[in-house]
Amino acid sequence: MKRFWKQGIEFEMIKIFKKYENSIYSFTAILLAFLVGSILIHLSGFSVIKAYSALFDGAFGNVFNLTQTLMNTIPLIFTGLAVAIGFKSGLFNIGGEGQMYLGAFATAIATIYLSFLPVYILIPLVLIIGGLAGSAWGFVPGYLKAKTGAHEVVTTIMMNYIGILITSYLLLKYFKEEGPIPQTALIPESARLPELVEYSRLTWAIFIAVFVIIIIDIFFKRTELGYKIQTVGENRSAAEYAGINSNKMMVLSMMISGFVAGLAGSTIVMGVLHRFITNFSPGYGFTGIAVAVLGKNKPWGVLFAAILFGALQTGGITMQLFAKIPMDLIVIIQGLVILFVAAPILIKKLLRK
Amino acid sequence: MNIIEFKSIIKKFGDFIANDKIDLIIKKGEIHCLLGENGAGKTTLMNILFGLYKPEEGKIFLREKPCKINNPHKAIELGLGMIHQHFMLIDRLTTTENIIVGEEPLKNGLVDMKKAREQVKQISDNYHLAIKIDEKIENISVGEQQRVEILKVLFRKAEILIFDEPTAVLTPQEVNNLFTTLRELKAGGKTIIFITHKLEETMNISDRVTVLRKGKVISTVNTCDTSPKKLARMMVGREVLLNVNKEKGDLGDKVLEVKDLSLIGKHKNIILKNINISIRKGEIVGLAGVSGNGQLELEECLTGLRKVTSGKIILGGDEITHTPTRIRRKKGFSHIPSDCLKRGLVSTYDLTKNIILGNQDSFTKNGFLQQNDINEYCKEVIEKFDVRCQSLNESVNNLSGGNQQKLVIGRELSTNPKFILAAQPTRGVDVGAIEFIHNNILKMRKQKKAILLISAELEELLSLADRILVIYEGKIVSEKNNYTKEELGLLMAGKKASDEEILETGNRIRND
Amino acid sequence: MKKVFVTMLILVFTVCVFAEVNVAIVFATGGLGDKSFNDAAMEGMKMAKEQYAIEYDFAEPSAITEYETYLAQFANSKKYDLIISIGFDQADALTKISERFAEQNFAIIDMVVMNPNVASYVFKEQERGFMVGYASALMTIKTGDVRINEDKLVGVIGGMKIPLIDANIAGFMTGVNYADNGVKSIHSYVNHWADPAKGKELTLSMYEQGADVVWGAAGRSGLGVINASKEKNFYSIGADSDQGYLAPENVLTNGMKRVDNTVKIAIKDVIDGKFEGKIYSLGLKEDALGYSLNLLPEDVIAELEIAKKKIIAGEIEIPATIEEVK
Ligand SMILES: Nc1ncnc2c1ncn2[C@@H]1O[C@H](COP(=O)(O)OP(=O)(O)OP(=O)(O)O)[C@@H](O)[C@H]1O
Ligand SMILES: [Mg+2]
Repeated sequence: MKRFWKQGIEFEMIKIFKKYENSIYSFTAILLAFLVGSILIHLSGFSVIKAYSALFDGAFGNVFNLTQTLMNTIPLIFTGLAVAIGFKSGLFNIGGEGQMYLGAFATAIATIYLSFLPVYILIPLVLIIGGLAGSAWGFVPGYLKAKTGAHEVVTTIMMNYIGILITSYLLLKYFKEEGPIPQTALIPESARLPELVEYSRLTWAIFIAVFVIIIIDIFFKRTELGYKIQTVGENRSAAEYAGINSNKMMVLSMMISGFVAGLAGSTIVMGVLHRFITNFSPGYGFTGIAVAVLGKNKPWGVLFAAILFGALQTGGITMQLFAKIPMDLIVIIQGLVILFVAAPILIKKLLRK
Repeated sequence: MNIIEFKSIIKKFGDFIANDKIDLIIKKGEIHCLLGENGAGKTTLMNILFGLYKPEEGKIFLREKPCKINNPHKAIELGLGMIHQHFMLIDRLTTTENIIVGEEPLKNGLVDMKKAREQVKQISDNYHLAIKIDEKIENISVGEQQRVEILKVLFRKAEILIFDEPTAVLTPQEVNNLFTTLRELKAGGKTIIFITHKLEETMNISDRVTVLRKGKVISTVNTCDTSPKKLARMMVGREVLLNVNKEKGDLGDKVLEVKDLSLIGKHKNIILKNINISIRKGEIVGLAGVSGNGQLELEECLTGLRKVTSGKIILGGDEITHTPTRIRRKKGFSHIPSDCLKRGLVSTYDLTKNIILGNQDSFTKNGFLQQNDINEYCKEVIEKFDVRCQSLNESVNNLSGGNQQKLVIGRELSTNPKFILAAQPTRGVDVGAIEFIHNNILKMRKQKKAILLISAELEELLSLADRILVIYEGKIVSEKNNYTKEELGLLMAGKKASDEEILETGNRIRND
Repeated sequence: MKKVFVTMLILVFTVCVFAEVNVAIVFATGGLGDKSFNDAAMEGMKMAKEQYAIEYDFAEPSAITEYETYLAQFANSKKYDLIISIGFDQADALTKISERFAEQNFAIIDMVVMNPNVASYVFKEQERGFMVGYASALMTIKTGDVRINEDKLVGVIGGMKIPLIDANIAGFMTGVNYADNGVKSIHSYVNHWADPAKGKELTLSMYEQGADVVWGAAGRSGLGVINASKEKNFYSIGADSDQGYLAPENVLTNGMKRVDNTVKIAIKDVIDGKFEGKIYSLGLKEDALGYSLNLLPEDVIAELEIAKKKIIAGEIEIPATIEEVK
């Protein structure tokens, strides 16, 4: 009887474990990263407790810090989703950065010319325009992959450079505001997303981001197109066998991916900067790759991972300012998280003793 | 000596018991066959032995000592070697690289390729396992890939070799070669565990046989004391008709016509030459041939996965030579692919997502998949085709090899097609299932479908097909209604049956 | 011995008293190690710490979007007597943050933010233009130097046609005219802040026309000017910081923008209780602008010092636009 019970409990535990297997691995990875991070902090002669409490306080300690964390989370949600969408069709879209610049630029310019429109048309419209610009930027590598087999990693990286430079060129040539700074004029008030908390720069963009997560989640779980794209990613031979045009699906997924990355740019322009400025990004497009990896390419996973990375970024500021611990440490922790996530075999082994 | 002893091994997957108190003894130096239906738990038991799964209960004794095998490394250390049902080779690497991976001979901290090659060459000579030493895996035949797997195991100095359905993917010639190798290995003192569904093979090669059913050991017998019929009965638990009986049927209109189809490869090599096939309603045409003679390419041409160089394909009166696969499927083209795992299934998807593969648009409304309808349909198909699974939402990865095959067949036969291209439909399924699949194919024939059966199994062809074409080196070399087994075997091997016959075939093709 | 101890005690005590002043600085995105504004500003902070015994904290944002967060974090802590923004692209962020934290004193260097709690420190650019222009005119008529040709022509290359750059150019032209020795000046624009290739191209074309001293007031595009002078062996003049290390044999002098001194001035104002939210125009007088010695000969330096005194005394008028130059 006793043995029976023991077995029963063990069995239940295994069931629970199976269900949350992925999340458990991710959490273990994060814990390990912080653990190794604490060793590094200690070795560099700082106080671990002080460092991590500053980090936590900076990220979640008060309403303002929380808003800053969420503000930093928004672009990461978009770029992380973009990478995840690419992965679904088996493509590694490293072009999020360039797609985001295109989105930001297109949105900033569009607001100038469309400012006469009423808000409820203007805002969705310029968001879509930003998305489409990113989409166009995603289309090129997708098309090259389909037509010539050019590897998307190479082409998307190149498109990043082209995207960043071309927006900068167009800006300087046609749209630069008077003054020493390479930036457009401020976008009209009507095109700015309302702030949720005054002075926080945390805007409605967070709802747009969550909305996009829901849409993408449904898209891949429930729609035929999502199914087809995923099938190409999971098993290209099987997709072709099933009569799915894998080239078309790859191009489409790159376009959707680019659209979402473009939204990262649009929401930054409409919510944070209120104009386009050259070199505005601290590498959201690239951090998006890490976000997607940690989020296991699942839309809700991306949300969680983006919050973590947003918190690290924001908390890192406090850690740097008030605990005097260099920002580089945050970069190291981020790297460690990815390392441990990407090396799940190691963690699986640890868990299975 | 008992080299391996399993003592009341229990393995569960959730509620499901895959191995139920297995007791089994393997003697040193024997070839021991494991027989059993699809999903009987053979692979699971071997995975336990190899340290891939942990049993809930039970012990394993190796060389009469109890031992814990927690992972494959440990298993390899203990002298075990496994040649998996699905090969685990890295396509982009060469044969030698695949063989030595993880055990590379080193020189100054670098891989000593010269020494590696020598070592591989030596083992391959010793056991007559001919391979091209520097060829990439993606460029070699399945039989050769298997030899690489065997060499890989021998390179790690295995004493006990486990073969999981090694013959499923081999041509008769290759099977013969494999058996020669197995006998040589046995003569060299190795112990062999051999999983198969083919009863003749069991009779031919093994010393003793153990039959599993539903996770339990039914019995272990000496091969010389049993017969295929007895074994089949033990496996399935009932009488199995090893030969199906086919009723005569009348033929209807032409459904599929292939006219002068040719395919030239990348290096200007001829892959298919002037293939002519026509299949009528209610007719099963068999395409016999040793694999690698163009069947795979023909399969791809017919389905639209490959562009033909010249010639025409006509389905139900419409030319489909350049029609995309999607449209062909719409026109009633159904396809059981020869490489079911690679083409027919998405292994990470669950059953419901696999059941709509290729037919997804029929379950779509306004762009959304209708999950309820899909579940209903899936339930129907797996019931009808006896796919054993725990739930609709489990990944097809968890299904046993034969059940995966049945899932694909069920899907392809349930769409009410006009034409069915069945390529190696019974690869890797148990006798009971073979009977079942054969009956279903005949049912389709009765429903006046046209069927092209591509197979390397002589018995299958002889018992099902109304007419058999033999393909050799990309050409149809013979076409007849009834062959003897010997005749067919010779033709498949490229030997001419008799000059008269060739003449006759030639005439008929010209007259057609 | 006792005396020493007492002196030390007094020293420590004074430090403690003055240590009440806390300053925070938010650098431009280039970060420390940029050999330019950020490094110079850091130098200023260190000097201020030494001289006035202040305490400071600094932040190195990696992107424009982070300026606001850093400024807000500093302001929110209510610990600082002054928060300094380095670099003109912080203007947007500072405008918002200074509105939000109306009690906090801010300073911005090289840009104007019109809020009552922000002191904006800008420069009389034309003054340094004058100094290097004058130096050029005196140099180009020298003989016996392979870097100098016969022609009496000097040039200046601006980054973009904006008022700030034109003030520099106007100063340069006025300086050349002031020499009154028949030397002429020419000027053109790269139209980009970071295009050294174009900068070099323009410089070489000036050299073709006979100019043998060329000043690059063009941000990173100015690197092209120095590069060209090194390649064809003539004189170039750097901008903002001492760029002599780039071409030790060719960089004649630099039109210096002493961000270090400016930072010090801003801090000093706070210490003295003289902080005011207004625009400060600094120049030679405050040592906020100047020139570096590099390859300048003694006699030229002497002339320059005389002119500098006159400018500080208000005896020389230097227009801030090209149109006003006579
Ligand atoms: N990882 C797993 N998770 C859940 N169920 C599994 C898993 N692996 C196997 N099973 C189930 O265990 C049963 C036994 O599978 P196993 O692969 O051992 O069969 P088999 O005898 O090798 O069959 P086949 O001849 O078809 O290969 C099957 O019903 C299968 O669905
Ligand atoms: Mg199996």
